[in-house]
Amino acid sequence: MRQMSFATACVLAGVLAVAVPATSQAQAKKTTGTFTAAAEIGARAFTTEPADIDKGKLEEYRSLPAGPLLERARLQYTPADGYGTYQLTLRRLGALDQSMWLQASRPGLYNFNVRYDRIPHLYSSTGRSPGNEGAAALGFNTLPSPRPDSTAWKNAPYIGNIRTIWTPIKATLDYAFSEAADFQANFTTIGKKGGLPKSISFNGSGGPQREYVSPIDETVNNFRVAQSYASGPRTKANFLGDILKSYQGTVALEYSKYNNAITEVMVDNPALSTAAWATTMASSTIWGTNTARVSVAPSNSASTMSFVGAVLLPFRTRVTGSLNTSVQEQNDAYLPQFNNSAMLAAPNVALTALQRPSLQGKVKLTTVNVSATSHPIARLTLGAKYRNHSYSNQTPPDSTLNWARSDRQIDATQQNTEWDPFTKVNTDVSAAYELARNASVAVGYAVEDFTREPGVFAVDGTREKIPRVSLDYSGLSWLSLHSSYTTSQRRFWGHYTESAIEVSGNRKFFMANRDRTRTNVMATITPVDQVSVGLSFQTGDDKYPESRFGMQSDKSTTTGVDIDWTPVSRLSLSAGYARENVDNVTLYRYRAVSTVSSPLFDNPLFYFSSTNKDANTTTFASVNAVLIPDKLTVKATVSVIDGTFHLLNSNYNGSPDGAAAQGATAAQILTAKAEDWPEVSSKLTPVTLAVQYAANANWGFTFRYNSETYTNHNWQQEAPQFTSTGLLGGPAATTWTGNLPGNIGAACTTVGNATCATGQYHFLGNNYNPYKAGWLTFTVSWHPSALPHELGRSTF
Amino acid sequence: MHGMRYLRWLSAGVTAVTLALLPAKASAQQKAEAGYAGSAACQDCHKEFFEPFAKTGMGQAIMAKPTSEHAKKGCESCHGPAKSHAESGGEDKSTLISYRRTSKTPVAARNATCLACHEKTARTLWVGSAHESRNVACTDCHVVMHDKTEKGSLRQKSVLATCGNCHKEKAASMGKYAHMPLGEGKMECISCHAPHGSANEKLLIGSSVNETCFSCHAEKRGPFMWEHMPVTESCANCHDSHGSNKQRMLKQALPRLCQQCHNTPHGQPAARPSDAPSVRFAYNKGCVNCHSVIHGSNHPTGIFFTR
Repeated sequence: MRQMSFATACVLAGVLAVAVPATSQAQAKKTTGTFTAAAEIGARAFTTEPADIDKGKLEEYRSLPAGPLLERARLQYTPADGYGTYQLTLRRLGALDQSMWLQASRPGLYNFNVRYDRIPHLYSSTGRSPGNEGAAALGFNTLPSPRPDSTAWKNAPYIGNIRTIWTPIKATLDYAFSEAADFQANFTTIGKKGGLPKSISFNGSGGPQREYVSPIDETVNNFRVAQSYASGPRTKANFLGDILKSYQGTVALEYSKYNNAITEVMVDNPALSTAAWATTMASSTIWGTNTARVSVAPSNSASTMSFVGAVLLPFRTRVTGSLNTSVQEQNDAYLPQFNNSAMLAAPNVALTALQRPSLQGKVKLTTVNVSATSHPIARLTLGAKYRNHSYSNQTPPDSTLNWARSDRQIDATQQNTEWDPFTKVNTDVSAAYELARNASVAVGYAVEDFTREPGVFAVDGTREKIPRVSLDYSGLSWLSLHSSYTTSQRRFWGHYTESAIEVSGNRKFFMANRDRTRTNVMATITPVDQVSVGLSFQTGDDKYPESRFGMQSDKSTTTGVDIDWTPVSRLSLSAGYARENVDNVTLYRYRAVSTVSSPLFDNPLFYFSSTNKDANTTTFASVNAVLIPDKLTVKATVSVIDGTFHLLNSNYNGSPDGAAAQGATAAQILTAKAEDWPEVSSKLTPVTLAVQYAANANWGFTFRYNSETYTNHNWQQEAPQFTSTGLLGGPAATTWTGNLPGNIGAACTTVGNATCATGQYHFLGNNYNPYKAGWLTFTVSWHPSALPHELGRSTF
Repeated sequence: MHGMRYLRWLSAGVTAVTLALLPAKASAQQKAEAGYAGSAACQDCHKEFFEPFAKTGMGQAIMAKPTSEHAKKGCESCHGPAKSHAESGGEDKSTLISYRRTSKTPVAARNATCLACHEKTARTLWVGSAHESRNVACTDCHVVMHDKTEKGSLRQKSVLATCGNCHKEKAASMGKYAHMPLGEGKMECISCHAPHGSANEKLLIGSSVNETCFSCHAEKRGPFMWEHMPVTESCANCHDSHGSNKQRMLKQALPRLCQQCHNTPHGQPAARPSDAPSVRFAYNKGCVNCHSVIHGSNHPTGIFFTR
């Protein structure tokens, strides 16, 4: 409602602006100030319109409806003294991605802004379901009873766009009490409503499993006030004499509240319409609940206080310190352990009672920074930094004496909460020397200590040492150069006794020993005034030298070139190309069992490597030509954004593929055989051509043609058609048949449930179909020079 | 060994202090305490700059209603005392501060002029920041003589384009399959980063990666009954916030991302996606098909993030 009220107010103001007679809006100076109004209205029509199901990516974060549109509008008030800005701006009024903002400012005194946006987040348009997905009020995702069979899932109607609309409103006030003191207040509220595809497995990884639409009704409120003080150059002599040249300080308080209006989501089991439970639990889909309860994010809050201070001392020595402390709390009531009415007959059900009604969660974050820079001689800059960031979870321990496993089984094992507090300390020293005018070389040495108490996995902590060197040069009229080289070594420490079923040497990538180098070269070359060439080259090389399994290496190379050419003042041309290649290698072992003594537990024949190859290319070209000065302009852009990744998998032990390992059956060998994944690719080609005609200062016309072609091949989001699943019969022949239709895998048995003929895995797609779209937009601009700037990828 | 390390630190500190106490050369500004000519004198030759500048916020603050002694110097509040320049018919530029890229005025001196008024709030941490230490000039990103952008007086048409002028690979990432809505104009680089300096890593606005992400994604903040350690430590362990060609801006395709840490029996069959039992591991969201609340669960049975 609050957002609606704000939107209504903005709309009324906009209408008022447009309704003011044109004669009174001319920029004739008046003693009472001047109103200026501007608007751009028009219409959009598709020449090639994708079907709704194919518009997923086209409208991922935006809205492109056909029909009339109010693209931009602004009402501006200029005071009689010409000092200050007061304006209301609207963009895409009425569309799902509309925005409006109000600005009132007097330079040097205050600046007040309120901005309202709507941001669609479209996740999937290809999902099907025979049930009632995402009845938001109750959060129930219901299926018919008896449960639909496989055919019903396949033929179910499309759900339509599954998306969440974000509605952020941000208000900011900056007020300068004096030249020295500034006050700032920010309030941001983000409303999120709609749906989000989420998944649930009812009995475990064997299924049944179903993706459903999780209803979203969330609000984030952030409020922050800050007071800053800057002394300015101090001239008065006092007890500090000339030592303290100037000082600044800021105190800030922030409160953030996240509220989730939905506390749980109930999801029907696609296989069972009647809850079932037995004393002896077989690993079968026939046992379990007919409806499961899933938690959603609990409401929470955070209170933060920060202090920042800085002093300027002799030799341009500046010392800065800051303290930031935050408390995060969460205390939503726990949900019941399970939702299987039949399981109430279990002997140990009483032990599933919870120890307390809610978590009483509390986390304290503290960050301390101290940094100093100094110029002992004119050309030398010395710097030092220290930063300590700690995450301390102060939530009282909790446990469940017995716990319900997937609403099917009660495990007679106690589960205890575990927190993962950590402290990260960064120290850094640096020196920079100006070799010549606008040419400097800098060296630095940084250390990062990451400590976890208690240690996790095989690591109590890591230390990374990071020396670096950089060269920056802009001394020539035709060359600007920035370059840097960084190399680092991260090593872990700690004593750890791994359990028998853990994998020896499987270091987690974010705490494993790592050798890293980074190279960055960036140059801007201007051989003549009309031409500017930007070049960039970056490499990254990470090696994980002592990880037996897990991440082994990660290499990346990025090259880019931009060219701007203005042969004559009325014509400008731009083109650019960027390419990124990433190769990373991971090693795994296939473990068919968790039994230590089994020959399958650690069988080298089952080891495999996975090489991920990314290639991303962005190419663009644009032209801006003024055909008739101040009258007719033509603009055109074309981009090709191409991204692929490919996972190449192979058993790397050198044994012939398919050869039987000792103690393994042919079926097990086949299951462990690694194969390449199909390539995943997406390509977006947006083209824009626009002709803008300015009839006079008051009227302008724009005719724009946009086209976008999008292709997408992602086997993970497409349905495989298994023509053979018999492991003994050789590799299964697989074809891909299109979007995941909501029915994959073998049908469950009919034991215990007469209608259990449905597949075990149901997906909503999470996919964006390929599309080809073309549309024409014609707009009329009134007072075009007063309009807000165009923004976003559908415009220039 | 530790003692040796501290000795080295101590000697480095003593050296730094000794260097700091050496007399510094008089700065160019100190030498340039020459006379001021007044803005009217500037207008005689540089008239074309006045009209567009007067429309800018800074133009209003300096030319229309200056509120400080410094601002009352008009053009010379930024460009330095120009009396000798005016009297020499434009020949003598020795006392002027120029902001062209090839200016003889050192970048630090140019920036110091801007900071004379803009040192408060966001710029308090400019000195010593990543950009300052790499000789980035205020005028590399901002133009003040005319309004080119809606706000911020940026050199390029948007924040993304301005930052992308140097950070090309980050700007290009915004076009990848999974990205945040910067290209659509709904976010800006400064939604997460403080380019004028920050006490935090990567010039973030929050005290950590997570605190920055939580400003919008507060539902991930918790604390939860069951924490997922890599999530608690950094969102960037799994996500590339600048864009990725994997779903949900993940750094690796699922289930490989999870398998970097979880070498468990039931997670491995995705070696061969054409094997029907791999469906639940390899397709759609991989591991997250079942472990759907992977960012943390407050459900009593959510220890494995399935509820």
